[in-house]
Amino acid sequence: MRRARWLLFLAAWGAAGSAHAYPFMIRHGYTQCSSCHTDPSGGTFLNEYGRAQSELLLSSSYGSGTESSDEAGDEPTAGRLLGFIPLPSWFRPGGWVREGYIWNAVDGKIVDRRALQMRADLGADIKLGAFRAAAELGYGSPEGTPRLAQITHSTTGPNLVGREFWAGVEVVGGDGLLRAGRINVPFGLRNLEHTSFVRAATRTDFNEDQTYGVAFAISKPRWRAEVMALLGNLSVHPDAYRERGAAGYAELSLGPTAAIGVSGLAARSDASLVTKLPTLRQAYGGFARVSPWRPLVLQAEVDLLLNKPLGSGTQDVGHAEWLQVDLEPLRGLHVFGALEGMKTGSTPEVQRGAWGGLWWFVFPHVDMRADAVQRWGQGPPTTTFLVQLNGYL
Amino acid sequence: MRLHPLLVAVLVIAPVAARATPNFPAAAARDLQLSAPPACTICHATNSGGAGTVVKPFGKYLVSRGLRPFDEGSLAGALGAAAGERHDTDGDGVLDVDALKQGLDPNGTSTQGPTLEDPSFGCSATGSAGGTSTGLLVLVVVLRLAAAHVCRLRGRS
Repeated sequence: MRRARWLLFLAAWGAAGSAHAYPFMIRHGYTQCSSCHTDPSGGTFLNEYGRAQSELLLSSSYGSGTESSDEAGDEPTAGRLLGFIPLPSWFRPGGWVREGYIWNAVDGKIVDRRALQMRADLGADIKLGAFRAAAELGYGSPEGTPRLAQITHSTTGPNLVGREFWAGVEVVGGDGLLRAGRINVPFGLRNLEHTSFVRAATRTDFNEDQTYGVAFAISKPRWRAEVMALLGNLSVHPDAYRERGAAGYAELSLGPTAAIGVSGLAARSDASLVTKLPTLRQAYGGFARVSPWRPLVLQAEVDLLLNKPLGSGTQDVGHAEWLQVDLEPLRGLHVFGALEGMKTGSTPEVQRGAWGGLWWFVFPHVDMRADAVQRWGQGPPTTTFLVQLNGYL
Repeated sequence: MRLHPLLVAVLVIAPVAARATPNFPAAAARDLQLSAPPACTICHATNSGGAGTVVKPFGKYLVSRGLRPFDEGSLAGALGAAAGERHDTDGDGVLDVDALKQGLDPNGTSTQGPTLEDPSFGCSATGSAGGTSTGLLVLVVVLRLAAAHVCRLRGRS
């Protein structure tokens, strides 16, 4: 089995991954991201406990199918690198490969199909006493480079990509983290669907929307929060396009399987990437996660979008919404669907979208996913089919 | 017969025969005989493009004239309409098609003036943004020092 896992990992790496944040883990009573992730707001690196839970709770079981570590009996191999290399507690490496194949249809006719290299990153998180640091570097293909995370600047070839790198110190007895660097913008649900309207409209996806700044995050048993001073994305040139401001969220657990939160973001740039005009961009919203029945998780986010070209005397008002249903009938196998809407201030049309698909966590640290996304409201209706394979260390 | 999960996984990643993505900037350059492909940002919010990101007035105009995603024929038709209608998105007296031939943005300039370049991404060759690489370098040094510290601690124990 270990040999097969090696072969699969190498095959995936050779062909060509996204950071992971699974808000649906609230079904298991995990309202705190920091239980499993080194980032207190979730995503990217797993801690030792998170590695173990990815095997004990997340992946399909081909044996007796027990769910807790107490019942499983065997030591979880996912707590080790590639399943067999023991790791020191201070060193948490990570690697991601995500490869997909996409079909795009307009008015029901396939007009585009291609292989999609989504992620190929390596990184590490270290924890030495109160000191913390993390960094990741990756490859961006000519067609799939996340532009806002580029380190190199090729416009036609592949690029070196750096989504996150930061250093900081744990405070408040380890419940808090004060850090500086390139960090995920704290806002809303940290959902994997980085092209969803809520993530795109607020520019808070974690594929490429990280920015440089100073952030303070805190995780308490019943609540968590993070605030960040946004100092500008140094991957964007010239400086006029860099947004500076603040963002943050706070989430309160209403119980072991329910949480609600609020988010806010205000950022100013001398030139908007869209209009080149000096712009104040704001987003305010609420989000919620609830699992009324273990196999079922509902997630929702509603955001108000305010866009003000400075000096114009006008204020564009828009909104974005996301409602997602995740059903896990068998451990590791998810059926999901989502409805979304978006109106950006500059357009009169309300765009709508519907998502549906399957997500299978085949082995620890290996998952497959198939999505169908229908969108309409701006131009002709479009449909996207995407299959992807993801492996991570 | 039960499929082994590994086999299923391999089957999913097997179809790697990609074909080139229809390239609107290159197609526009070909159709209008431009010296260089225009930036994606004449239609999209950023050079990343993508569905739902056509926010520029010129892009919306092309959509109103039949432009469809990935359909180069519809692009040719929409550009033809722009030429035939003598459309001038920003009303500066330079027709959209002429603006493209002059290497200008049909959506016009901003209060920054025409000298504000389009956004570029990654470390700047002009050195105005060495922060990314410098930050990484600092982080690597810090990590290296931390590793040495751990080695020293282990040596004592």
